[in-house]
Amino acid sequence: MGSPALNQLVEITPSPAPAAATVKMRADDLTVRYGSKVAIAGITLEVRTHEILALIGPSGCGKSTFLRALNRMNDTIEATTTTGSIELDGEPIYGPEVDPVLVRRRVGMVFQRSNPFPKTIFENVAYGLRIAGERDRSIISGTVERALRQAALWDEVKDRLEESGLGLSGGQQQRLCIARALAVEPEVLLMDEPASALDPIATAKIEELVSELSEILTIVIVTHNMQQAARVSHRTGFFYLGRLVEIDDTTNIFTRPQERETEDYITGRFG
Amino acid sequence: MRTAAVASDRGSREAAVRLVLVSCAGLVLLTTVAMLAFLGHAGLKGIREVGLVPLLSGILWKPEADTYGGLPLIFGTFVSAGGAIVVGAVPAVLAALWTTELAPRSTRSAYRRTMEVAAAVPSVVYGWLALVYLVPQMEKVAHHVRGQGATGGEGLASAAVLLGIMIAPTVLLLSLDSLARVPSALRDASAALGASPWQTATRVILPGGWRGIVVAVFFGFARAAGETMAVQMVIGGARKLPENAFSPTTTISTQIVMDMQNARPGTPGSNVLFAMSLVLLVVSVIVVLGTRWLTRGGKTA
Repeated sequence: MGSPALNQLVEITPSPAPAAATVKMRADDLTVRYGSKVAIAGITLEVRTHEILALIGPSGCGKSTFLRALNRMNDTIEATTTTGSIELDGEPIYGPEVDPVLVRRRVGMVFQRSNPFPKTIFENVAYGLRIAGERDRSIISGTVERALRQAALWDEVKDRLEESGLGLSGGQQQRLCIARALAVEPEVLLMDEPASALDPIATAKIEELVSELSEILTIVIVTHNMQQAARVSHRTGFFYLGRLVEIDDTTNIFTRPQERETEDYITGRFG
Repeated sequence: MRTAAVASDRGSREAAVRLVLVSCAGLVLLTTVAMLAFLGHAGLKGIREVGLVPLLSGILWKPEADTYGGLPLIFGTFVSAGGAIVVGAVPAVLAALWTTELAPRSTRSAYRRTMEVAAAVPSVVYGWLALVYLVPQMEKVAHHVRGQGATGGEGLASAAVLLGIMIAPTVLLLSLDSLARVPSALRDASAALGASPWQTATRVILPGGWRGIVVAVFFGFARAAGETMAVQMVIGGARKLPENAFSPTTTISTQIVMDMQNARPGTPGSNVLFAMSLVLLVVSVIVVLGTRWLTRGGKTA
């Protein structure tokens, strides 16, 4: 039921999806409640290795809640209950014997608002290593440089690593947060509207970065910006009222959505 | 006519209210200025009579012989308040960190309310409890540490422990407020990097709230240095430098209470007490300015 108008609505630059689609994470019948309020219900989806999966939907649809379920960040919110299961490389991450701290070292996260620590640029990036017990100075400084290069920030900050991370611009701060997450070499990176507080140029840099990073890890990105989802992601999932309405290759979601609600949303009829 | 009458009635009422408020503000200011003026006048007279150096460095305090060496008082004040910081403020800061970051959420407000009650208990109650329960225990410790012949439990150590217990709730509550102001986005960032709650608390939250904690600790010091009644009950009241940590000694505030009955206004004995009050005030001002200086500029996050 794809209408030709949809093609003109968003500019789609389909990037090649990963060839061998192995499953990195799998959510099965996942339900999250805040107190008695159901935030997301019965979500079942796969995250494929080295893909960029975009989650879109109107505010309050549950996409961020689902994202935070993937690294057990919802555990830090009072009175949250999670049922169903999520597997990482086939291992459940919600088992009673699983330490959420270890899950978060493998599944990193970048937040909507950049939140660098009130520390130096160097110490921001080194933080994850230090809490993991790394003491070797050359390993730490090597990793900091590597992470800053991966986050496309090295050239801008290499001469002022000892200055406060809070002195950077908004876009630089967000890339610092990405570098900080990359330093601990996560296998999956969750991004919660990482560019929503940034200007168009800084946003373009973040999007370019996301595309590059999918070569080294798996990315799940929540966005309310449909053009962004269309530009950067391989697959897109549409959330509405706490349910996963539809998930498919990004090209299909934006040109031939199977569900009426999806089409209404991406054509701007609500949201 | 009627509305005009109501309006002018309201106008005169507002003028009356304003007059009352301005008078109150003026009265408070005037009282403070007058108090400082009297204190400064009599205190400086006392300093001139004794001499600043003998007053601050003399080790014999004997008003009946017109000898006013204030060092034992000053030493007792600083060491008992400093001891209170070690005994009371440091654990209080760590307890505040535990309360905001690690304690089960359901117990947090109960813990906080308990501390609010503890902070509101009058100091004489603390002093009395300490005299009955703390001093005998301290005597056992003194005998254990220094042998059977050692002095009893009333002394510097008892005063420091008592003051520590007294300031702990206040320091804890002020620290709680400061730690709670650290943005929760930093907690999320730390947790998402695989930090345990304890790592987040010590590496992110504590540094983030340190300015408020410094203020809390200095406030605790100032309160301990000024405390009179409770200290008087356990410090032993000896007008000399302590020989060891358990020895009885005195402080500025307790000595003022001890000597005031015999100090007739206008006499050197009275002026010297004003001079020692001035010393206490200067210490407090230095503490306040020092706190400002330590926590100057910058933002917390």
